[in-house]
Amino acid sequence: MKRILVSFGLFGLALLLLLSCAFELQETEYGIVLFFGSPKRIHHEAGLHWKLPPPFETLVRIDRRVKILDPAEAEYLTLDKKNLLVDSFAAWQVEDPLQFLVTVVDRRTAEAQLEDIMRSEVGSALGSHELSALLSIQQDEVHMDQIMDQITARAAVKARDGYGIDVRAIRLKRLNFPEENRQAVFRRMEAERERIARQYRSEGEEQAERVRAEADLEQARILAQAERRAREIRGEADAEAARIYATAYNQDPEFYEFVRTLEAYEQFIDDDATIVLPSDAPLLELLKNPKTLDGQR
Amino acid sequence: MTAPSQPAPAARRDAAPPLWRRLGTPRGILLSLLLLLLLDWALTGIRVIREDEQGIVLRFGAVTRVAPAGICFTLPWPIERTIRQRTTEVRTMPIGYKMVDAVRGIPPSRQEVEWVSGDKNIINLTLTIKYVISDPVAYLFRLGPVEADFLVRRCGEARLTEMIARMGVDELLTHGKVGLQEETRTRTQAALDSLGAGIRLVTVNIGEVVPPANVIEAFNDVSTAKIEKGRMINQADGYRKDLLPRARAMANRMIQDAESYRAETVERARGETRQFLDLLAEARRARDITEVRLYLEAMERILPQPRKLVLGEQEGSQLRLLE
Repeated sequence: MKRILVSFGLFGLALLLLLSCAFELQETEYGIVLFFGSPKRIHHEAGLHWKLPPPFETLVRIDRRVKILDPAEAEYLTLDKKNLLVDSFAAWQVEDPLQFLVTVVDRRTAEAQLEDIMRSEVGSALGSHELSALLSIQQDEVHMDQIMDQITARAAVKARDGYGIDVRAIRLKRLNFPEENRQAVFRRMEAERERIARQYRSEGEEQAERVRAEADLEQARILAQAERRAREIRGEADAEAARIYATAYNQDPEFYEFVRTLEAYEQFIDDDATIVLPSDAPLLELLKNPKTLDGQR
Repeated sequence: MTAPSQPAPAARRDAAPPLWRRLGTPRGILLSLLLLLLLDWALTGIRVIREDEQGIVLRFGAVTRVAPAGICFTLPWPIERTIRQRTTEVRTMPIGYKMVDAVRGIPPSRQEVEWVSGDKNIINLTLTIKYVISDPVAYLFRLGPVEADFLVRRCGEARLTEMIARMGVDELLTHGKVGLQEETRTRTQAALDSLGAGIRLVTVNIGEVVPPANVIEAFNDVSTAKIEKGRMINQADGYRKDLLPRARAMANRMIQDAESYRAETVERARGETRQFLDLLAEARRARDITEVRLYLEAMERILPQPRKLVLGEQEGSQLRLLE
């Protein structure tokens, strides 16, 4: 029984020794093996690895995942002296674990350094561009993505050389106007809206007036055409009537004149007219001298 | 070293009695306990992966394979471990507001909801991104779950900022939404892919796009003005639609009047000439007597009417009735 216990104890010790020599590396980390505190080798692959037991060799794990650094928004000045509130973020990861270990050690320090780099790069990039490079509806003016790529590239060089950090991307998360400019912005927006509203209204008037004027013109045209046509018709009618009269009356103009004169008398001699008949008028011949008429007959 | 030799003869000695008898001995109990432990240990290598999950099998921390839904056999702990990751679940990431606030009815802060458009207007916009985990290994290890989820928001925000910065506020408020939505989806997806997030966006939906509260009246006035413009044009059109038929009716009237004048005139001419011709035909048969008759009849009609009939003595008076 005692022997069994001894053997168990020995087995346990051996296991412990074995365990202190083996280490498991996760997918999310790099392992740096230090020999008496000085870096000896770096393990990039996840899985089971071996080292000498402490205190000869110790292991430092360094997170290799992509991390997001999201510092608070800050105010920057553009080339044309416009204040902008900029909120940016960086995606970064450890590229050179050894340098990272030597220079910054942990995430918090790394992010503090990175934040400084970001601030200066974003500041200098925005300071060398006008506001319209960031904000414009002129498509050829805006090139925010190029600016951000440029910031990323510059920051990446600094971070790699300084801290073994790979800056994957620095992006502009949010743009806004600083608190003290906001009222001015709102006033400008309001003025702009008023202008647009006025424009709509006067456009409405303009177009309505045009439609009305066109309608009036159309009406005048329709009526004028109708009038012309009516006159044509009347003219034709008169002409035709004249032709009819002419053909008829030409058959015997003398007789026409006679009949028509009689009609005319009837027309122009009305109730008030005073007619002076000469005493020798043929009409009165009988009245004066019945025989004459008799004799004539 | 001598310890392993001890059980060997014992096993030979106990070969005769049945199995259950051997279990009774202290050594037998120890052995069966060990056996049970061993079995239990082996059982740690069996995991059930549910339908909505994928299993990632790690051997000493390194990914060896991804197991589909079903029973997954691995080497026992601590050699292999399995991480179960839900992959079919559609996740939601709000942009411009927070889910908790939305549930409680708290309006989003201006830092969350405000964007600046290309024409330097401030606009409030919210957006909801729905996504699934397309590559669980990348999702878990390239960024880490929480970081990856927030990367969706960050990338979405960055792309939105970039795109809104080149759009006009009117475009944003009206027809620009659909394009913005689609563009945000593709660009955010590209950003996520370049960082290897293992995430696939399913939909990007723009929630609301509204002007900030303190200028909303001015914006509403523009809408009103737009409607007014339409109304003015409509009214003018109404005027036109009223005027022109009337004008056409009047034109028609004029032409019809002319036509009736034509009919009247021509018919009168025909009638009158007919009458004349008839008379003429009559007169040709007895010219003189007809003329005298007509003359006298006319005198009969004319002369009774005037009040005064003066008989002049002189010859060649002013009025000559007959020549």
